[in-house]
Amino acid sequence: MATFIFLVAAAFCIAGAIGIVLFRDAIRSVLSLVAVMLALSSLYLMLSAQFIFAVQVIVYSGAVMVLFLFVIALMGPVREQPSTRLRFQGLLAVIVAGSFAGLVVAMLGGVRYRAPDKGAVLSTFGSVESIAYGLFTTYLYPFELTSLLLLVAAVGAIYMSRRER
Amino acid sequence: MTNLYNDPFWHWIVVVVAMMLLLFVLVSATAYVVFLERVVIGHIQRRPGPNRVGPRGFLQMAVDGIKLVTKESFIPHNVDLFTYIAAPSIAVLAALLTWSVIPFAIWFGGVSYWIANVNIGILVIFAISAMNVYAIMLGGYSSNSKYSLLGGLRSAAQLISYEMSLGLSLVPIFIITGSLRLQTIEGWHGGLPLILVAPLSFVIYLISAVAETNRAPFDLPEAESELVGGYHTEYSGFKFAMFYLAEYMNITAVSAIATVVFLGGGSGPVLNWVLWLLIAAAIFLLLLWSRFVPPFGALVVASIVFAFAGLDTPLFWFLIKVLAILFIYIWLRSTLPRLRYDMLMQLGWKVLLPLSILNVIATALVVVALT
Repeated sequence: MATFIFLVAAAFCIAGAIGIVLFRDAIRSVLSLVAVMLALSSLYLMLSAQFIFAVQVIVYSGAVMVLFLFVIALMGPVREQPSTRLRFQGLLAVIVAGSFAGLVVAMLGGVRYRAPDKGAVLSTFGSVESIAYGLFTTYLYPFELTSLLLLVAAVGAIYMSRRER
Repeated sequence: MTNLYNDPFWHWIVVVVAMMLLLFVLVSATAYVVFLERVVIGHIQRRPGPNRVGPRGFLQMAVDGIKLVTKESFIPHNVDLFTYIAAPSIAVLAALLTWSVIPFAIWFGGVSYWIANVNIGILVIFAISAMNVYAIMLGGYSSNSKYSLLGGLRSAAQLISYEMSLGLSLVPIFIITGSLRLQTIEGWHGGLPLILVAPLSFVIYLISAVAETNRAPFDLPEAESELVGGYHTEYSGFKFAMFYLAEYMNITAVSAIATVVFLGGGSGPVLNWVLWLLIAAAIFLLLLWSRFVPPFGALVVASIVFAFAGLDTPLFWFLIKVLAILFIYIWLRSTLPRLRYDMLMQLGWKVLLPLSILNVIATALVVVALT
């Protein structure tokens, strides 16, 4: 059962990823990206990371991708014209994709799997409680600094948009 | 009777049967929510409302359903066909999925059976309701019509703005109950209604939920005086019916969540069957002269059946509370004029969001001070 769900989710991921690149219609690309995000979230769920699953759907599919869709709908249905591409783009794509694939293969070879830490409670692993505990104890300062960074970015964005007016 | 949940085989049977039941009950109940709305609005506007088809108009929704299904499904020129068909499907899918985690349980033989009892129940609901934006946006975008597109754009902005205050309005509840599991929240201190503890949260939730479900006075995505029909202008026949069904299923779901989180869900005085029948008769007599008979009458009949079938009262209390909140929604719709777009955004960002953040901080401080 788990293998089957994994295969379905992985197939959706890969099909969506190919769709993002190949669709000429911007809205189709965005929808493919949404499919990738949703498939990814189901993979998180299979790793019993329930909280990450919910946040992935809420933040990425629910907010970020909707903003993408919003901008594309605002601009209207613009299709990517073949003439706007570089002449040697095909060759470049093959080189970049090939080197990236090589990098991934090299990295996968170096992965070392390990047993869970001694004393780790697997029944609460990935639950809201365990993530909250980690965030507010061990990782409190990085967590707060990240939120400060986001606040600075938001204030900066508002400042930029006001100055243009 | 042993707990069927613990058996790996029966577990699946129970879940599938519960899902089928839910699907059937939900779709037909939704039709009668529409009917309730039409009757109540009729009363508020001092006109009869639907009263011709069947006894007291009771069959109106069945006839409407047949009309919508058999109607020609007209597809305009130059629509983006894939997204045009996907949009209403996403709407119905999201509306139905929300119900999978709502603790809308059947109490049978002392054990309650629900479809899913998950650790992150409320987050799942938020995640699924986030999908509603896609239905409306894609419907608006793919229709190749400026009214639809404007409706879709408005709705995307509106839903994102109000999603935050909706989420933040429930955070005090998590702080108080210490859980995201809806079943735990419902049974907090033996089903004590959390509205007594967090009334501000309830108000913010109710207002944001109206905006999230695109209901009047926040129905700007489909403001008919400006946008014809908004995102579903170009939809007809069964595809329109799907949008329509999804809208009412969402309203019912939102009311059910409010019931579970704020009103203690299915908790209420346990009645023996004599008291039960007396109450049912009293409601029936009270409603006999009003024209709310069909929807509430169905409830009365259902509760009598439950009383004799040995099913417990929680379902009855749950339904009563859901109906009360639905009534508030209908009341709001028929009473308040639609907000202007900038007023809507100001209310969301400058009133509800700061208020809900203050509410979270205040609740956290009080909880820390008390423990």
